[in-house]
Amino acid sequence: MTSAIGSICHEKEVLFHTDATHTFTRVPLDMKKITVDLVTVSAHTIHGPKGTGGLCIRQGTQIAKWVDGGFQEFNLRAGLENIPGAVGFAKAVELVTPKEIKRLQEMRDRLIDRMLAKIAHSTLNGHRQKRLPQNANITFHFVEGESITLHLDMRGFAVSTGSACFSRSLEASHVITGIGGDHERAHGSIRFTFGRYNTVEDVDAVVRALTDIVEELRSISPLGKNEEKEEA
Amino acid sequence: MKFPYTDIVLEHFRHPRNVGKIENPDGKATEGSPACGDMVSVYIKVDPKTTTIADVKFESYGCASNIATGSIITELAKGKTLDEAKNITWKEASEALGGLPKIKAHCSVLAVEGLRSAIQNYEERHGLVKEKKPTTVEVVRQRLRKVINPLTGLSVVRTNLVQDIKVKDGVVRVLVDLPRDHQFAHTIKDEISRLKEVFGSAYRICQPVSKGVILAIKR
Repeated sequence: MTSAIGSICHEKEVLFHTDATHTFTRVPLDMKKITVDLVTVSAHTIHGPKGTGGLCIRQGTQIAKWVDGGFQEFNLRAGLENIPGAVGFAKAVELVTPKEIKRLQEMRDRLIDRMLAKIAHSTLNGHRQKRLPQNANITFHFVEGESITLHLDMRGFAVSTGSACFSRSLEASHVITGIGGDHERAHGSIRFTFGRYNTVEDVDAVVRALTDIVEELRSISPLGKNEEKEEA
Repeated sequence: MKFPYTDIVLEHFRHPRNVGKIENPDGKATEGSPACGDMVSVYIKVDPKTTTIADVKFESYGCASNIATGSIITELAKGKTLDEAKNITWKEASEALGGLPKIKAHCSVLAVEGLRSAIQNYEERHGLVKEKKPTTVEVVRQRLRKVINPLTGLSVVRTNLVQDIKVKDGVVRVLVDLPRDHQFAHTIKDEISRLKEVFGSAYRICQPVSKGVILAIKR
């Protein structure tokens, strides 16, 4: 996909920037093969120090200086370099192993399998395999995402939702609608993201918690009652 | 992200009061729609002698503020006369909850409107509606504000989908700018024509006669 966009940009002589904060170290990106000019990466997504990130600039790409007042960072961004941040970021990259990525992927697949099996009227958003190894996004129909998120928060799980109610703009996730979903699909969508410190036990615990929460919220929802009866 | 809710909101969210359906309700209403976001249904039982609300229940397909407002509104309405209950405002509900974030007004006002509509439904069924507003272009436009364009989450009026409204000789024509291949053409048309209140109960809704036109004819 990135490669196709890159080719179009190249053909039309438009610079191509991609936000790779979530794919960085998780999905290979070869700047020799893909005609991408600028790539943003961030330390926090791989357990590095928060507030540190990087912009990978293809040689020859013209960039305007955006913080004036000094000549640091190749005369692009004034202010003394954040050395501890940079060193921490480098160490964080070093600590990511292929084994870890495999483990994240196993947790993701376990979560998807269990959720879809245990909770009726749930749908995976996106492709089963062609997705980030650490990310699962599932819609639970007839319930609203912010309510699920808040219930999970009270039980110690931090997730996110594409529901319009959760966003400051009151707009549904453009990603869910962009991959063909409608508002209803975004309304009950939950994004789960795994990190190094998650375990298989966490996966099972969140599935158990969600089974209860979705059941509880569906019991107060005016939707979906007939469908359930029909199936029974 | 930190949730912007007071302890009272959280308490009602966790333990919503008067949840469920009333079988054979005296009045009922649903506000919102699944195509575009939150939705709330309100059911009431009315004591005909005192015209007070004997029982009230709600169901919610919504976020925490929607659930909490549904819950508090049932508590506020129970035992009140229909006129008192009709006048409960979003502000009163919000104050009873210790305050709701402004951004959440959209989700929580539905519960307040749901109660009002359920009372209106009771009054219409029992011939208690004293003066009926005549259906004018402005009235139809106002009512169409409730129909949301699912693509943007904003009303069909605000997103300029409704191009023209005509009221003439007992016929209301709503011209909707919907290309045939619009992702939500069916949903939007269906919702406009399903909403009896858009046209007023004196109108019968006809099948759209041509692309994008919704027609209602006076009975």
